[in-house]
Amino acid sequence: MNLDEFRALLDASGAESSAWPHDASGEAERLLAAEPAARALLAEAREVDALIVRALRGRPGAEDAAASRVLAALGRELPRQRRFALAWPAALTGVDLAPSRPRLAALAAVAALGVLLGLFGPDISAGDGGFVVAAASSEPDLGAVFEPEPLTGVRP
Amino acid sequence: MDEASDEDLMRRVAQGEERAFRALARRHAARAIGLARRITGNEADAEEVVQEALLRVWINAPRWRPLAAFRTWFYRVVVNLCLGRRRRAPFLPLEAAGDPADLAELPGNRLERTQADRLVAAAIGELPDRQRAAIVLTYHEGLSNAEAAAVLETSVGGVEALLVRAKRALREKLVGLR
Repeated sequence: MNLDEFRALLDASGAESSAWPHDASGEAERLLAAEPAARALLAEAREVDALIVRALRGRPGAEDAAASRVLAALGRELPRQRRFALAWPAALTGVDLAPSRPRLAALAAVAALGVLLGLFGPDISAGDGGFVVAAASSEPDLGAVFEPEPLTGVRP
Repeated sequence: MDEASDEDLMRRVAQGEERAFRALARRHAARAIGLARRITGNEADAEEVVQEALLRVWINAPRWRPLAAFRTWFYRVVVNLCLGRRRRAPFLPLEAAGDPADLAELPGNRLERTQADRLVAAAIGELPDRQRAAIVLTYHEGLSNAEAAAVLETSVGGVEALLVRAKRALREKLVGLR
């Protein structure tokens, strides 16, 4: 781990070593032991973390009044809950699709690309057991070159 | 009722039990307002967001599945509502710094600290929305990067990238404060 990587670790996971990913922790500790510059980065990260925590801290109980207003507004009659006549099959209710979304999206994109290529792609059509290449009428009929022998059926 | 876990209460909310819903709302409203306020930078927006989020909890409770902790799911609703809302007013520094009238009464070092807090809060307020949300979730709510990723519906690497960019921007803005 170099100093840039160490700084990225501090930015991503904070200055508390307990929050560092296990696989990076050992290398970071070795760098800290060897490099005064790494120790300076850690001290700076601690200061920045402390500034952020302090700036985000609210007055104790500051949100309670706002919460009371929200709860009072909810004190009125609640709307009807949304229920579906067709519920998910029980076997599917425990399946969390969220982690698979990028892969499902990639699969859908590839399928869509396939459909588009099929509809609007190059005109390659399979004919009578062999490929027929569309060619200008002035060109020799290349398709015939690949025709099987009429008697034996052997392809050239 | 108060000892029941969020998930137990949510199961009862899914059955249409209003009492369980109100207990759940009481338990989470203030914290959620704090979260929304730090992301939107606006008290009125924060209250509206949390009220809307709680109503969504009630309305959609029958569809809720205990795949993640209730708090993660609820925060996801709150954060999405915050991010989807066009900001109505410039980001307001948090009340932690006190009212302007109070500042004159503070002793020197505390005054400096209070002003520094305001500057940092303003710098956080100027971050892009998702970067600010990542900072608030990890530093104010104390969520791990994995939990913040679940709330922001991204990967742990995605949260780390948001935090790296946010910290880089904050460091540049806060030169001289440290």
